[in-house]
Amino acid sequence: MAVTPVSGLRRPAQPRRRRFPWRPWLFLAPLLLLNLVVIVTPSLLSIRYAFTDWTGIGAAQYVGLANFQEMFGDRVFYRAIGNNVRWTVLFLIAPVLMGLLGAYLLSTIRRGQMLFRTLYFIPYVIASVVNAYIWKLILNPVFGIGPWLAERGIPWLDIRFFGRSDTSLYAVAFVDNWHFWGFLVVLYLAAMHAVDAELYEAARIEGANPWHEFWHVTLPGIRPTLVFTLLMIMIWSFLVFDYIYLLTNGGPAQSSEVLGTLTYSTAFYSLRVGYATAIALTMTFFSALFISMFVVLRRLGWEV
Amino acid sequence: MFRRRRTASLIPNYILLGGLAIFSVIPIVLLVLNSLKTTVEIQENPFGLPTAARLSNYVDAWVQGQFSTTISNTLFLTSGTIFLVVVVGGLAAFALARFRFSGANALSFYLLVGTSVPALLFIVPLYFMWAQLDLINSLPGLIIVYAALYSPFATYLLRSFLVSIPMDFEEAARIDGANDLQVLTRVILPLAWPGFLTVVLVVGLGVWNEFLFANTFLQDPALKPISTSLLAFQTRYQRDWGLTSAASVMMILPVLLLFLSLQRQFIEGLARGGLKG
Amino acid sequence: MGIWKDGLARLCTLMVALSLAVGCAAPAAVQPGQPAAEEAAGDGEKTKVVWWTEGDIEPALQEAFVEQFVGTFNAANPDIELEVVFQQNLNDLLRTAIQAGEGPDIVQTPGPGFLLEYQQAGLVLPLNEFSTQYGWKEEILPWAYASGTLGGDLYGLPLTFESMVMLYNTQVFAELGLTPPTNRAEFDAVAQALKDAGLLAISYGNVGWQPTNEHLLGIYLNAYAGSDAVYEALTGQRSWEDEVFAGAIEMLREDMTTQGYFAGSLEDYYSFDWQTFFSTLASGKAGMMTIGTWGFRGATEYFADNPEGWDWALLPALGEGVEQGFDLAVGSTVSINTASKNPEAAAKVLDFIYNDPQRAASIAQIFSFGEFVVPIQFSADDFPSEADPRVVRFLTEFSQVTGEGRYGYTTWTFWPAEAETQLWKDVELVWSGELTTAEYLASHQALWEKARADGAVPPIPER
Repeated sequence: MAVTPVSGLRRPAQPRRRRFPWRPWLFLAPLLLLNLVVIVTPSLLSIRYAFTDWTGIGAAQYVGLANFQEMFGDRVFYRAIGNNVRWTVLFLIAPVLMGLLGAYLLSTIRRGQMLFRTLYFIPYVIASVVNAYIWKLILNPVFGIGPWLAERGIPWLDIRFFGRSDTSLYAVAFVDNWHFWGFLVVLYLAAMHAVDAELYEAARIEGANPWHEFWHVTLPGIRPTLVFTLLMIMIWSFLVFDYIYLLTNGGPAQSSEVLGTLTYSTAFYSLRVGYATAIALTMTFFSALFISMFVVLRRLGWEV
Repeated sequence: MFRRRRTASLIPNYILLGGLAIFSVIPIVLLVLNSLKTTVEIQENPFGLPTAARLSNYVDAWVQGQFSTTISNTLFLTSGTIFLVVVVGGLAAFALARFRFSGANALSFYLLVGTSVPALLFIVPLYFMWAQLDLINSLPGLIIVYAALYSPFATYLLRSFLVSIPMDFEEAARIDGANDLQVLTRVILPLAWPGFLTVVLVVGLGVWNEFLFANTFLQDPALKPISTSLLAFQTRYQRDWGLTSAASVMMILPVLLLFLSLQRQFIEGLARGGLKG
Repeated sequence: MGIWKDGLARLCTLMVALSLAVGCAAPAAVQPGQPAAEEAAGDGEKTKVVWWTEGDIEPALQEAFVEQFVGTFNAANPDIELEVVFQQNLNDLLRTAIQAGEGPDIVQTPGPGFLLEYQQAGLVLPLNEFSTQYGWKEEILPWAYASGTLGGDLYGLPLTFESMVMLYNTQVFAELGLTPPTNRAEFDAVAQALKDAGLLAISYGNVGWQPTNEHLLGIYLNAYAGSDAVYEALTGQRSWEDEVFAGAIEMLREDMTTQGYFAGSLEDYYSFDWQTFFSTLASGKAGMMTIGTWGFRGATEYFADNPEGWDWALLPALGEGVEQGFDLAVGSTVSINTASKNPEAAAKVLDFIYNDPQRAASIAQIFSFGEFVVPIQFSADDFPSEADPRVVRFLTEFSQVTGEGRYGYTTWTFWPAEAETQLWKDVELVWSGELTTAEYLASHQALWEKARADGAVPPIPER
């Protein structure tokens, strides 16, 4: 195992004087140990449930691939995947654009920067159950903002966003995004601060306008953070559970069902832990797929 | 920071920022107003000012939610986890950012897949393991679980900060004869300070609000964390939203304080760290 | 360097300051739910019994329960120390703990279906000897006792029972000259009259608890097809694809969609939560509510300004030749953990729940008869004077009506878990038109056959 120091993108690699292959692994050991004990071992123990009819209690019977066969023939399963994909696309766009916009605008100002940043961040601090409640109250069908405005002659907002099959998923995504985007502002802003100031100087000397500056200096400068957040969004979007569970529980009529809520109801309402494990494994499979994409990108030379 | 334009040209920026701020904050203002109302008043008058500020909601929420017990448990959980994650994640991120070694890609892959395992998949077998190790009903036992859950995320975040730090400083230190650990603590840490702050924030928040693992691994009422306080005001079908709102505000305040106090550090870190623009 | 230390120092200072601030208050804190901790530590002689119960109960009521039940028990049994712990997410937590050989002495489950699972896994003790010793069979209502009897042996006792009723706003009914409907024709007439007056016929919705759908399914299946037909289906003598059940599902679909009896429209039904549907009924914007007896609590609370503004009635019979009755439900059960070190002491606690109707009534009174309503024979003079007369009327009438055999079956007590879940989840697809009633019932029948083959059908008391 050859160990060479990684250099930044901008600099060619230089050989280190001493080479001990175990050096990086020494630094990685605590992380690996924790991961192995807390996540890997129990997960491996759990995978075998996917091949049984375990109810969550007592003895389990081996059923071979029956759970997977059932899963691939189940309409709800495909609907859930479709909703996860929709969710992913929504979250790759809305919060990222809002986060970039917010962070960029913040980077241009000094006065009030801290105030704005704090205000954007507050929703991220609040527990999901409370955020869900606030929005349920705002969109309440009897004493929410819709009926309130309708009484005052503005009827077009009087819509049951969570109660309609065609809006429920987007309504939940809206609430989750409201809570999430401020976090991206903070991440992107921190990354923007770390961009080399000389690059801006150079751009300005060349007469770049703010848009060019953003596109050619800021964005490339924060690329590792940006790609990191995109990857995390993809992974999280396939794990999404809490806001959907709290606001619609996958309904009405499965219109906001995702793999997370399906796993939960299969395990805890239908008491089919074996089948639920098979569904949960699918979630991990999709994440692994995204991560592979990410790894391929890195192989192609992206410093992400 | 980087570049300044004259104030006049910043007016559109302020307008946009203000619009975003209103979007973020109005629901929160509602929460604070509701924390001063009774549940009945909340539904009769959800958007208005309270008729009389019921500060007693805060006292009731504090007592009924047993905040005095739960907040100190959660502080212990949070600081313990942050400490462990910063150390574990910092070491790992350093290795991933500064060494090229075979297996690094496989390792990244493995860790990320680990991040994407749904809790439902491993929480039950983990509970059995922890029961055998006598780590149920133990705050340190839960800290180990949290550290494992958040370390991969922290590692990746820190790594992305570390790779964007130029090698010059590090190389200078090495020429002065610093070893790996010295490079990490004397050079990298000060420069990657914003990254570490972000980790502290994200991990701190995650632990602060975490419910599933806490409720499963801590059954003794004396060890319950703050997220259970938030649920103290619900019955099977409904909640006391006045008290829940007051409890939420109390739950948010320490985190907000942490955020504000670290923000200042954050700016200072940039100014002193030699990366200022 | 300096920055790092500086920042860390500040962080630590902040943490320590916060810890101190709250730490000072900690020793003085009152801890409802575990008054026993200190005493138990000081007195090693006592036998300890731990009971985990539902945590979603208001703190004030928890305290009252601890005082009136735990306190009384511990005073009456100086050699035993009972500790009741109110756990959030009790069921998920208990399932995990009990299998790891941990968990409390007294195992509380959300219903007979869960009890069956625990029994099959050997996690709960048979209670036959204790039953004989304490005479539980004589105390507890026969159908409820039967629901805890698995394969001839008693494994659990029903801790609380429920039934579906029709709540209504008495003022709205008086103003419109209505009386509670007893059959389908009257039900249609009353609902139409309420709609004509610009009100909602029935205030109800499933926000916050999606399985609310099954309340309606239970009502329609029993009240349209008749409880005898449901009993036959439960015991495998009749298929769920039978036309009487299809008729019930169709009628519910009509009432949910075209008729808009529930919350006015499907969209609104999917948007109403507990506080919305109760305040809508209480403010006179709706006439009726189809809800379980746990709704008495909500009625008491939401009609606080106008205590005479509500009453309850039996649900109307919706099919031809069907009688009105109560649908039976066991809200939760209690058993003894196989791993318990003190089953005798635990049994003593169980007995204390049932052996005194007056005490049982006053415990139930703490929860406005929404929880801990034990299925025993109550007579009117068992109730404390502050008990609501409408609730007393229910409890006494319930024994009488069910004694005559006029009772139906709720899905959450008598259905196997998977079939039950399919029933309330997929019915939304029937309502949205994505699934036909025939397809829906065919899947339901298949899940019943599977459950029957697996021995996962909860005990069905004989009619």
